[in-house]
Amino acid sequence: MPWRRVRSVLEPGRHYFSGADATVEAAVAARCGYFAGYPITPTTEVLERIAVRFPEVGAAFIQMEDEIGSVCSCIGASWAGAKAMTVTSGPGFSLMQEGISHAIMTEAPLVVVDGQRAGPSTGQVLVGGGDVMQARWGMHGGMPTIALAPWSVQEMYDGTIRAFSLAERYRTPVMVMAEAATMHLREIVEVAPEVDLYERDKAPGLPPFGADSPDGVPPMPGFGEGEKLLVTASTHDARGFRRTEDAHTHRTLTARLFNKIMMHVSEIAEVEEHYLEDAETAFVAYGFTARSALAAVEELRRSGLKVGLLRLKTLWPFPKDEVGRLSERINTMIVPEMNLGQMIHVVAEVARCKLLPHQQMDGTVIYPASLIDTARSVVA
Amino acid sequence: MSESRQVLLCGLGGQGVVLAGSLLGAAAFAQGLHVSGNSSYGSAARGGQCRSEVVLSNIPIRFPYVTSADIMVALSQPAYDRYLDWTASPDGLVFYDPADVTPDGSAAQRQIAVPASASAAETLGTRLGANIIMLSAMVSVTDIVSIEALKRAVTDGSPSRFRNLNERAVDLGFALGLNLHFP
Repeated sequence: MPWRRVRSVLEPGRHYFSGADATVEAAVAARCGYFAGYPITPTTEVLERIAVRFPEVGAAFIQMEDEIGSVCSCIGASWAGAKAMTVTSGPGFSLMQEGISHAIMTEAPLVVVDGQRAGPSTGQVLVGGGDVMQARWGMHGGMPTIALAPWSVQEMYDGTIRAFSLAERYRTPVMVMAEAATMHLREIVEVAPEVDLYERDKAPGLPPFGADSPDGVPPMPGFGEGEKLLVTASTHDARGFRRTEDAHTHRTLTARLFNKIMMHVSEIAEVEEHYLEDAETAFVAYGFTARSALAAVEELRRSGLKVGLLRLKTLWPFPKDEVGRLSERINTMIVPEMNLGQMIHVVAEVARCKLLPHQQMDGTVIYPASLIDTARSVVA
Repeated sequence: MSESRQVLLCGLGGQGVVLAGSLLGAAAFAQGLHVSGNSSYGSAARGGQCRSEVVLSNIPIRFPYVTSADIMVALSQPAYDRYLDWTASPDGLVFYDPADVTPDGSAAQRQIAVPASASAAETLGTRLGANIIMLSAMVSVTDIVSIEALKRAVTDGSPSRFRNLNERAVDLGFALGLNLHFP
C-alpha cells in the first residue's frame, strides 16, 4: 500500500510564505530525510531555512562543496533509504546533469528544484526560464524525465510535495522548474491538515532493476536492509550485475526506463484550462508566465475577445495530446516564454494551428500588458 | 478597501524599503487579506535602487506584481523619479519624505509630504525609523491595513535590535498621518 496519508507537520491553515519557504515546508511535509545543496541565487534562502527546519524534524542537511557533490550525495542518500532533495539555479543545474543521468540509470528517486534565472551562465540573478529544455535533454543518454512548472507559491508547496511522490512512484529524479519569480515572491499558502504521500515500494528478494512488464517500476531495496545489493550506472541486468557488452540487456533496460515514464503520461502530465470553451486564440504557457497570460486573457475577455489559456503544469513528459487536441479547434496558439524559444518547439511538433512566439529574456517577467498587445495583433 | 490595491515602496537600498514592504505584507496577511509581496534583490537591496511591491486584495490575486501603483511611498529622489510613472495617474497617491525628495510639481498624482526623517531625528534621535514612520503615516492616511495589524507586524517582524525603535516609529507615523491631508 504505497500511498500513505499523514498529518501536516506545519500548522494547517494560511501562511505568508516566499517560494523558498514553501519549498522547504513541502520537503518537510513530504518527509524528506536528506538535503544537500550549494547556495546560489535565487535558492539560497531554501538552504537557509532548511538549515534551521531539518534539524527540528530529524532530517539531515549538508552544505556541499558544489552542485556535483550535492546531487551525487542525494543519490547516495536515496539508496540509503531517505527521500532526498537538492535545489539550485541554472549554472548549478548544468553541473548536476551528470548526476541526474546517473539517478535515472540507477533509478534513484530524488527531487531537484531549479530556481531558474536569466542565463546563459551566471547571467543575471533575476528572473528567467532558460532551463526547461535542459530538464529534458540536458543529461547524456536522452531518457524521458519528469519536470513540473509551478506558477505560484502555493504550487511551490503542493507541487514539490507531488514531486516527491512522483519520484518514489516512478523511481526517477523529478525536477521542479521553479523561477526566481516564484522563489522570491511572497504569497499566501493554504496548508492542508493532511498530506498524501507515495512511499517507496519494498519487496524483499525481488530484483531491484527488473520488472514483469515493459513499463514496470521495480521495488527498491536500500543499503542496510539485509539484501545483497549492486548499484551501477553502467548497463546492468535485473539483479544489478554489469552487462556492458550485452545489447539485449541494454535494450531491455533503456526501453523500460523510457516506457515507465512515456506509457504513463496521462498519470503524470497535468494541464489546466482557462476560458478555452469558445476560444479562437489560446496562450500555451507555463510557470510564472502563465499568470501573466491568465491576467491578459481576463482583460481581453472583458473586451469581448475569445482568448483562452492552456497552462502546462507539467513540462515533461509533455502533455502532447492536450496541446494537439486544442490546436484542432482554435486558430492560433501564442507561446510566451522567459527565454528565446524552448517549449514552442515541442508545441510545434503537435500543433495543427498557427503558432506565435512571445519571447523575452532580460531578467524581468513578462507583464500582462505585453501579452495583451500580442494577442490583439493576432485577433486584429 | 476596494477589491485590490497595489503599493510600491521605493528608495535606496539600506533605507529599509524591503523591511517596510514585508511588514505591510505581514499586516495584510494577519488581517485576513489576500496579499503578495516582491522586493528588489542583491546589490539593489544594498545601496542601489530598491523597491518593494505589495498587492493587497479582498479576492485571490491573479498577477502578483505591481502593474500600476495605487500608492507609492518614496524615500529617495532617484527612486521617486524612476517610479513616479509606475503610479496610477491621476488617482495614485504619492507619499514622499521632503528631506530627500523634491516632488515633480507637474505630476498629476496627488502627492503628500511626510517629514519622516526629520520626525525620526527629532523624536527618536536617529533617522533609522524613517521607513516605519513613512509606512505608518501612509497606513494612517489610507487605512489600507489596520494600525493594530501593522503594530503587531512591526513587533513580530523587526530585527530585535530595532524592535523598540520601530514600535515607537509606528506610533509616531500614525500620529503624523492623522494631521496630513491630500491637496
